[in-house]
Amino acid sequence: MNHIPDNLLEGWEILVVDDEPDSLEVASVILDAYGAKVHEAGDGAEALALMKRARPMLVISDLSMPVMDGWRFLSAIRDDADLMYTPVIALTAHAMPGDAQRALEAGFNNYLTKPLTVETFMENLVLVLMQIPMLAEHINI
Amino acid sequence: MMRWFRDLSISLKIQLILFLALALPAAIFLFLATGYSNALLTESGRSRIDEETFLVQQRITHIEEDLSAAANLFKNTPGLLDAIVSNDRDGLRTLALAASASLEVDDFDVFDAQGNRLVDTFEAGEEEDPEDAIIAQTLLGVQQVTLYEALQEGGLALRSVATRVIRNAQGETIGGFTLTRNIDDAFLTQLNYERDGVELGLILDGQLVAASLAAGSDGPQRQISGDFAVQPELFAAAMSGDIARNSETVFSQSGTPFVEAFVPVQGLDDLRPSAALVVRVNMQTIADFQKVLVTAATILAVVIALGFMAIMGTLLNFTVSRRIAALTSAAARIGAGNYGERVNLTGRDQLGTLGHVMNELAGDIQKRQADLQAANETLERRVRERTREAEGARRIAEENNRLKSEFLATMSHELRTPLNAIEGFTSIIRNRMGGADFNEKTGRYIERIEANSKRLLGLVNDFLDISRIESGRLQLASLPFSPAEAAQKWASQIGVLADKKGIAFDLTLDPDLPDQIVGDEEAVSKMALNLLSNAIKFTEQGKVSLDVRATGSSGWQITVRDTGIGIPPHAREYIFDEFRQVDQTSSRKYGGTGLGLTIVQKLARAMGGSVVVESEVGRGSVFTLTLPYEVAQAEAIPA
Repeated sequence: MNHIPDNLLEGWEILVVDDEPDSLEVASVILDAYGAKVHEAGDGAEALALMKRARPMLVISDLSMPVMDGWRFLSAIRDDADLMYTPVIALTAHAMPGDAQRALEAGFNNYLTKPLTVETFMENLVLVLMQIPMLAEHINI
Repeated sequence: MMRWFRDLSISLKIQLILFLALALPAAIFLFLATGYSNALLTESGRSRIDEETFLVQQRITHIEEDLSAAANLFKNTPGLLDAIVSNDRDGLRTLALAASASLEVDDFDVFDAQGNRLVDTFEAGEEEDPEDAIIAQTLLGVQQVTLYEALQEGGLALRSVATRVIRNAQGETIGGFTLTRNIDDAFLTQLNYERDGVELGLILDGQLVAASLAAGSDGPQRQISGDFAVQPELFAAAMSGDIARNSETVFSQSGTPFVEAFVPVQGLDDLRPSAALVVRVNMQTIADFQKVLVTAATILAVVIALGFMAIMGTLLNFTVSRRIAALTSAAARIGAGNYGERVNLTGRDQLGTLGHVMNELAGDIQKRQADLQAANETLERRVRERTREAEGARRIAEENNRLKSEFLATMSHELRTPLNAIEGFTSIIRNRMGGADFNEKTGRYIERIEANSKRLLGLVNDFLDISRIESGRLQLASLPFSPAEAAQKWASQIGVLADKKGIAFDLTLDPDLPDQIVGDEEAVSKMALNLLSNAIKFTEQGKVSLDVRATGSSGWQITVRDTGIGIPPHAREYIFDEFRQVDQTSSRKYGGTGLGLTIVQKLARAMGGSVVVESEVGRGSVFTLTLPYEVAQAEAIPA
C-alpha cells in the first residue's frame, strides 16, 4: 500500500470475529500483513472465551452471527468488568441505512463497512483507530 | 286551578265531580226541606192560632154568658128588691158579698132608681166604679154584658160588666146592679186554662195590661214578658174589628218562636174597643221538630251522599283506577325493557281495548326486539367472520411482507458475502499479501477477475436497490450531514476517474448551502455518484462539472454537466426506465445494467425530489437532481 507502513500494527493483538471463514481469512491476512497478531473466532461466544484468555487490544466483529450475534457480543463485553474498555469495531454489511448509527449507539467504538479490500480496509482502519485515544498512540506511523 | 284539578287521580276527580253534583241537589233538597218545614211551621202556627183565637173567643163568650147568668141569678135573689126599696145598705151589702163570693165576681154595684150607689164592694177610692153612663143606661132598661176601661192603680184595666135593672111588681124601675169581673191576669189565666203553649195578653191603649200566668221559679209569672213589643199596625188592624194575624214569627227574649194574633175585644158601641187580646202560640216544639227534621234530612243526605260516594269510589276503583294502574305499571315495565310483560285487562270498554292494544304493542316490540337481536347476532357473527377473514388475510399479507423482507435481506446478504470474499482475496493477491505472488499473465487474469467481480457487485447492488425500492421496502435515513462535505467526497472519488480518462473535472459549491441538512447521505451519494460516473463514462474528452447549490430555503440541487456524446431526443423519454439504454450498442460499449438512472429517479422521487435531463447529441448532457432538505421516512414508493 502507498503510505501505510508495513509495521503499522506491529505488536498489536487483534481479535476478529466473523462467522464467514472467507471473510475472516481476508481480514486476518490483511491485518497480519501489517504486523498484527490475529486471533480468530467464529461467533460471539467463542470470541468471549478467547478474550478472557488472550486480552486483545482491539476487537473487530461482524454483526450477524449465529449463537451470539455482534450486538449481544458487544453488550457481554461491556458488562464484563475486565473487558468493558476494550475497543470494539463493528463490521457492517451495507444492508440498511442506520445500521452504522445503531452500531455506534449500541456502544461500538466505530464501524467499517464490507467488503474488505486491502485498500479500503486499511485506510479506513487507520482513520478509525486514530479516533480511539487508547490505540492511537500504539499506531506505528 | 285547572292544573291542580287535572293532576288529581281520576277516581278522585270523578268523586269530586260527583260530590259537587250531589251537593247541588242536596243543597236544593235541604233548602226545600227547610222551606217546607218553615211553611209547615207557619201553617201549623196559623192553624193553631186560628184554633186558639176561636177558642179564646168562645171562652170569652162563655164567660160573658156566665156573667149574664150570674146576674140573672142575683137578680132573682130574694130580698133584693125589698132591700133596694128600703135602702137597706147593710142588708144589700151582705147579699152582695155572699153573691160575689159564690158568683166569682170581683165587684158588685147596686144602685137605686136615681143612680145612687147603695152598696160598693170596693173600698172607697181604691178602684173606680162602672161608669155613670153604664148606670144610666141600665136604669133606662138596657141589660147587657159589656166592657169598660177603668183607671186604677198601676194603669188602665179592662173590666167585664153585666148590668140588670130591678123593677117592682108594678113594673117601675127601682134600681139596678152591675156585676164586674176584672179582666186581669187571673182572668186571662183562667181563659188560658189547659192551653199548653198558648199565652194570652190584654192590650189596652197600646200597652200590655194583663197576661196569663204560668208557674215560675219565683211564683206565677206573666207568660208574656214586659218587653213584649206590640206591633202598632197589627193592633190598629185589630181595632178595626178583625182578628189581625202576625204573618211573621216573633221571638221571645229567650229565642222561642211564637205565632200571634190580635183579637179585638168588643165593648159598648160608643166605647170603641181600644183593647185587643193577643194570642201567642208557642211554636217551640214545632220549631224543634223542624230542626230535628232538617238535621235528620241533612244527616240523611250526607250519609246517602257519602255512601253513594263510597260506592262510586269503590266502583270506580275496580272498574277504572285499578285497571288504569295495571295499565300504567305494565306500560312502565314494558318501557323499562321487559317486553314480555302483558297486562291482564278484561272488558270491552276503552280501558279493556287499551289493554288489548298495549299487549299487542308489547308483543310487536318483543318480536321486533327478538328480530333485531337475531339480526344483530347474525351481523355480529358476520362481522366476527369477516374480521377473522380480514385478520387472516392481514396476517397472510404481513407474513408475505415479512417473508419478502426477509428474502430481500437474506438475498442481499447471501449475494454480497461471496462477492465480498472475491474482492477481498483478489485484492490480497494483487497486493502480494499473505504469501501470494503472481507473474504478469496471472496478474492480468487477476485484474480481469477483479473487474468482473466489481461489475457483478455493482449489478447485485443495483438489483437489490431496485428490489427494495420496487417492493416499497426502502428505508431512508434521517441523519444530519454536510452537503458540502458530501460533495467533496464525490469530487475526490470522481476526480481520480476523470484524471485517468484525461477529462477535466471541477466542483462548484454554493456558499449559501446550509452547513447541515437532514437526510440519507448514502442514498444521495449513490445518486450523485451514479450521475457522475455516467458523465465520465459517456465523455471521451472535455469536462465534467459538478455543481451543488441551494434552491431557495427548502431544497438543493446537484447538477452534473458533461461534454459527452449526449442523448438523442427520443431516448430522453425512456432512459430513466428500467433496463433501457440509448441503444444496444451503448450497453455493449459502455456497460452498465441500465438500472442506474432508474435508481436515481426512483430514489429522488422517494425523497420528494426529482431528476431531469437536458442534452444535445455530440455536445453533452446536463442532469439536474433536485432534493428537499428534509426527507420524510418513505416506506412506500410514490407512483
